[in-house]
Amino acid sequence: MAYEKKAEDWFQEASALLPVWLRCAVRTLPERQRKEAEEFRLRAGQPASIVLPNGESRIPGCKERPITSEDIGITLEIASQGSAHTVLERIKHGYLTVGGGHRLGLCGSGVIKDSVFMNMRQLSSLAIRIAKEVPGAAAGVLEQLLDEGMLQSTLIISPPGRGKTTLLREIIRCVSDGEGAVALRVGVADERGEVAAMESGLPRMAVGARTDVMDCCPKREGLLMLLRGMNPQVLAMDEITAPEDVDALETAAGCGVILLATAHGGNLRELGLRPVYRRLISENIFRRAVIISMDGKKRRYDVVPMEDGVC
Amino acid sequence: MLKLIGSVLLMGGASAMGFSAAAHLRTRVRCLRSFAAAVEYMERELSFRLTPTPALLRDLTDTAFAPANRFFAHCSGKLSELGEKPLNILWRQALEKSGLPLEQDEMRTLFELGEIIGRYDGDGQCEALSLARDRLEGFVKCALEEQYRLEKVYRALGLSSGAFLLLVLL
Repeated sequence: MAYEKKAEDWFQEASALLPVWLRCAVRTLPERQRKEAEEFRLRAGQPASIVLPNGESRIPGCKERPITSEDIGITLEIASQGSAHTVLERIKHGYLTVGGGHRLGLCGSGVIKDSVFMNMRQLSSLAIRIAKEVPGAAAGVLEQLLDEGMLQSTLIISPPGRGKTTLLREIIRCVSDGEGAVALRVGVADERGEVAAMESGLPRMAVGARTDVMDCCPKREGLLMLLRGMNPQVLAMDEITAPEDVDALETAAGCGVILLATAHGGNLRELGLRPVYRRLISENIFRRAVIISMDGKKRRYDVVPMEDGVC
Repeated sequence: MLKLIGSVLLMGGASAMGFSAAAHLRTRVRCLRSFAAAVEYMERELSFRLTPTPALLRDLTDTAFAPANRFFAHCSGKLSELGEKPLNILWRQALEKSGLPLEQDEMRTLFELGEIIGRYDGDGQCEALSLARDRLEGFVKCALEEQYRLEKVYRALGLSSGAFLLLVLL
């Protein structure tokens, strides 16, 4: 019941980022859709749509009113609280995380200066991913990540939008609280602020009692600072994307810390095609991989061993 | 008796007009100074801390001198309307509602700031704020000169016109 109430709260929070006319429309959606909603999609020239577990559909009452660039601009202004200067660095990477952990993905025309991508002008598309906690998401998965009761370094793999961050957060919470595993101190390098959704020094998402979060700081620096300063037993980071992230993971692995991380990919074989991950796999940094796939409307979690560079 | 009361009222009214015109000169200077100081504060905050706009407006509501603090309080309160109206419109409306004792050019400088605040990177905003501060300080200088030149004149004019009316009517 408490969770259901929370799902409604997250929806209300994420919909508050929309321009008023659209906000009113999405809030009239049936209760079930509000709780299941995963994303809002705004594309200039097209009516707004909502992503549900069974796909993307138009928002009732908005079919006659296409989204304009101004609507997208207003959404960005609400999300940044009229403070473009505080989010510009993140906009350069094509996304922006707001309070509560909701993520705005952006598309538009790039502004290039001295061959460097500086900013975006004339925004054309925007996706708001609604942050959610799913208590129990790690049930049935966590015990497969243990070896003689101890958590093993694990890589969570799935295409975008399948719930990597949600599963990572839930594993962090369980390990930190000692639910189904030995309780350990967890350090989280939360560069995008989506894992813990820190606000005024407090996590908005449940990440456990023994968790220390370094947010809004590059993953590599975050991991190393946690390692130096917080004496973690488990280190977690969301979305390995750059060689620097792999460098930091290698450093941490060499210090006897258990690692938890996520990566985009359909399976281990696909992951092995990309040089960054090939290195990660061949160096045996992780002992387990969780592959998330869709089985109809439900998510399926397959845990596979990652030993001796198997991929 | 009635004639006497009427004459005294007329003299009092004329004098009050003169004193009020003189007071307007003083409040204009005070207003311009309060905005120049607030703009300097914004410039510093943005260049060193990249303070988000809502926090900046809240800080200025608490720390800026009157009457600029009233404007920042209005503007801060209006931020809840973001989504219905863009920030530059909210800024403009807050300025219009604050009833500032400023001339057209001076108001224009403040309106223009609303087109910059929260829309560009920190450096871009700082440049615009620095320019606005220079202009506001220029306005302060002019307003001070005007105050020195006209304050006593307005007061004397008010008193003497009151006295003149009194003489004519008595």
